[in-house]
Amino acid sequence: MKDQDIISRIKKGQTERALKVLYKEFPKVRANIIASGGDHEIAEEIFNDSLILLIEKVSEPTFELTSKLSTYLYGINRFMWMNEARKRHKSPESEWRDTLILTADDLDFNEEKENELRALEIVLDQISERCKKLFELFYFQKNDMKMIADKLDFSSVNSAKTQKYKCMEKAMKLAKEVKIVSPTIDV
Amino acid sequence: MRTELTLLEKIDLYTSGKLTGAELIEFEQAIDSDETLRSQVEMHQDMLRAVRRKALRSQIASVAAGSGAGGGFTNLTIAIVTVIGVGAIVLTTLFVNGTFDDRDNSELVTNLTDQNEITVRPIKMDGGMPQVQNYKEYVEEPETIFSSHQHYEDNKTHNGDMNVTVRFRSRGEGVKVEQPSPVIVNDDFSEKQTENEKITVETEAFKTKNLTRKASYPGGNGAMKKFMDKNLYYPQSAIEKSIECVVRCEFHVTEDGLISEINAECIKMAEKDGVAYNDVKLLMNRRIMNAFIGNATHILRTMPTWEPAKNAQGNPILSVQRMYFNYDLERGCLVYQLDED
Repeated sequence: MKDQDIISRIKKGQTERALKVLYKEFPKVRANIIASGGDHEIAEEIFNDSLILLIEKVSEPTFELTSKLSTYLYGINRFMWMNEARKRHKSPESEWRDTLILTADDLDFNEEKENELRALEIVLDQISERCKKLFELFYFQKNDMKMIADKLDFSSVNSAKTQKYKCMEKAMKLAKEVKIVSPTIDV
Repeated sequence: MRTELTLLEKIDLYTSGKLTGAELIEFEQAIDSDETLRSQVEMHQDMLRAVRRKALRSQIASVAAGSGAGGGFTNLTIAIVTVIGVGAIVLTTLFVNGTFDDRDNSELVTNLTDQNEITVRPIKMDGGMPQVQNYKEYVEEPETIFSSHQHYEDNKTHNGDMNVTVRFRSRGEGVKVEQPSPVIVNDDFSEKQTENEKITVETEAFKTKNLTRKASYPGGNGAMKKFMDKNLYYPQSAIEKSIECVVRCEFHVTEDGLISEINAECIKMAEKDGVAYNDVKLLMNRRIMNAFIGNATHILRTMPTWEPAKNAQGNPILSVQRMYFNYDLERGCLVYQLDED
């Protein structure tokens, strides 16, 4: 699959096929991370986070690819790994081949925001199965409310909407509790 | 309720970029002028990002499982299974049509199931989780070697507001002491024996493969206890909320006896007599957790130079140490030490 195909798929929301192609880069990234002092687990974590970041970046309407997509992906991985290594007080020295040198500004990467989002993901683990399903169908797979009402056996579109509202309210409440207790979540 | 519902709908439309024309302008103006609305929209957007990330994560996990940790190997296995599966279907059809006689067929079928088992087996390796958990459980149950609890309580003149109980593995012949021993001034524990001796000796034999001497605190465990008495304290914020915690610290003692690579982690946190905190609660009490971890690692960071472990030739070598700091509101802090596994 060509880069443009992958990008257009991601933009259309068909992430699964794109991920399958992109995941083929994992062994190379892993080798790079392990060579500069990481281990398998952290490599996997960083690669997954980088994939998510890449997809978020590509989905932005203003996204413009200036290099090969795989090069861009290596760049993100390198950045994420440097970031992680700094936190662990290690200085990774080995060079990465075929990569872009990206900075936090290039990626709009904000540590605080990332932590906040990570916290929200944990919050989302706490809501009910039905809410999770509803959120995923509506916000990720972009199904319309009618389809969701059919799929999840709601009596009407309106009751599905009300349920969505209730779920969101619950999630927000949980999120606020987390925020109030520790306004700056330092992970 | 009704108005809030429509507001949510509107935010949904706005964030997905479907709000257009006059409505869009109106809504943007409302966001500009209304602080609470703005923060609500921001939070909503964050929440949606988190929802998408979660969904992406599970997709990635399934893709990763598909390509497998072993990469090509798993693909190969799948291919073999598929081939065999197709073969099985063909044979079964033949069998149904009665082309084979019964005896031959049963032989073939058993052959096939045998092969199937062989090719499927490697996949099971992926489900190695329970084993790891068992290992963790085993590790987190420290063995008590000796305790200075008693001694400490007798000597309550100490200025701190907590008492520290230190339990260490003795440096002797792997001898275990069950009762808290009142005398812990020097490391002479070798006379005390218990029924648990056998187990310890076994693990000891396993560990001391090429170690003649383990790393130790200068002046022995008694000195280490004194040092901890002086420096450990219960975080005030945790006392106020009556939270208890167990912190696991792993660190290296280098050839020079320096402590490095301290890796601390809160393995359990709970309110007194309450259930262990889940992820959200942990997140909410992050500060307190960090206070515990900071307190425990402070001890390690400020320790004087250790005596490094030595190998058979008597040369100093790097060793890994593991300590557990069990903060307990009633009993103070219990410190266990475990050696490298």
